[in-house]
Amino acid sequence: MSAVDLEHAAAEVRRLVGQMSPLGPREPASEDRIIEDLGYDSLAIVEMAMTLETELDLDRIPEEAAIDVVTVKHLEELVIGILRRREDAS
Amino acid sequence: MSATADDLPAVRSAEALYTAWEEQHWSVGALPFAEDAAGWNELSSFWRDELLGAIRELHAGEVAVTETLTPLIDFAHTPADRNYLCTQIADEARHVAFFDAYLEAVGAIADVRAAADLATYQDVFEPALRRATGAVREEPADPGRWYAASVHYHLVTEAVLGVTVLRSTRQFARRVRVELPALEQGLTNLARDESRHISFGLASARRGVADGHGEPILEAYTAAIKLAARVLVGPDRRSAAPVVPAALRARAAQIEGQWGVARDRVARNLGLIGLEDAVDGVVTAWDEAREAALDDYEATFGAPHPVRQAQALGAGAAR
Ligand SMILES: [Fe+2]
Ligand SMILES: [Fe+2]
Repeated sequence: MSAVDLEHAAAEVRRLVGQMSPLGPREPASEDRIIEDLGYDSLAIVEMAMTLETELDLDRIPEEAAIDVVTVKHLEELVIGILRRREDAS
Repeated sequence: MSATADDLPAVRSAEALYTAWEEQHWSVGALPFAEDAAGWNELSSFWRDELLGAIRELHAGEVAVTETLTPLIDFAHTPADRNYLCTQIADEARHVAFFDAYLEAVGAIADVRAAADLATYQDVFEPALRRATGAVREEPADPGRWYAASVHYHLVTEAVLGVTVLRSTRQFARRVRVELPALEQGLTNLARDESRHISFGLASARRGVADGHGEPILEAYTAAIKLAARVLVGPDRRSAAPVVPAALRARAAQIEGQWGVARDRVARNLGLIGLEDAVDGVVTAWDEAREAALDDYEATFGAPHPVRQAQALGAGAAR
């Protein structure tokens, strides 16, 4: 997976997280915190994560890769990590 | 082993439930389905799937209870019980009509009818409900059979499964960002009706226990709640497990919250019918049935259920 594709995936993460914010659609910064700054509660996080997985066709991540997410940046890193692993595995 | 009927909190009599029924009518045709049809199109596919899955289970349950109540009516123990039960079958028909109309309005009825698999309730619980209610006709002189049927019907399908799924569906319906007023009002009406049905079931079972039928009642209850635990886990239906850890944990907490509500009801019903002493044993049976269903899920899908995945993730990964 090329750097361009990974950058595209990160941008897609930001777009979706912003679009699905319970506070209303917005353009989030990577530093924005998902709960405190973007208003996500637990159900909204599930909805957003499931949408992200469908749109980016993500599969299960190995437990050791399961970093938790506080900011949009963490989420971008997690998604890029999953995509890289998939690339390595194929 | 049991508390006497006098020690237990009052439940409404069949006569009082009949009167309440006359005062609590509602009409499927008066609900604003067109507004929901518009709102439904704006739902994200995630919420549409979640709501549709829940509505499909409720619909299947309503159809099943509409089809299986008549033996309890035919062999009701008193004229007041029979009068009340006739109101209940009218309610159940109305509930089926509500879900039919709802699914039609949001354009999902064809999908539900064409679904290749059964709803989990139909698959796992309905055969036992049919057996228990059918057994009443085979041996009408045996009151134990009537009570065992009412336990499957009122105490477990309605007072455990119905209450739990109705509650989480209403929470979802309020939580989505679009207005679904017909669903909201319909489910509120349904919940009111169901509370009468459950009152009747509790009063009947309490009378059964007091009259010496505690044993068949407890036996039926234990068998039925094991199946109910299985219905809630849904070992044959894939449950979405988000890869984002925070989302996986939130999803697991949401599911476990639902199971917890059901487990509390399982215990509470026993106290209300005078079988307080049986609570520990029955709750253990519930927990074991849930774990067995989770094992089956894992065997079927080759991956743990999201609740077990979240447990494996543990508190260690939390920040
Ligand atoms: Fe009903
Ligand atoms: Fe009912």
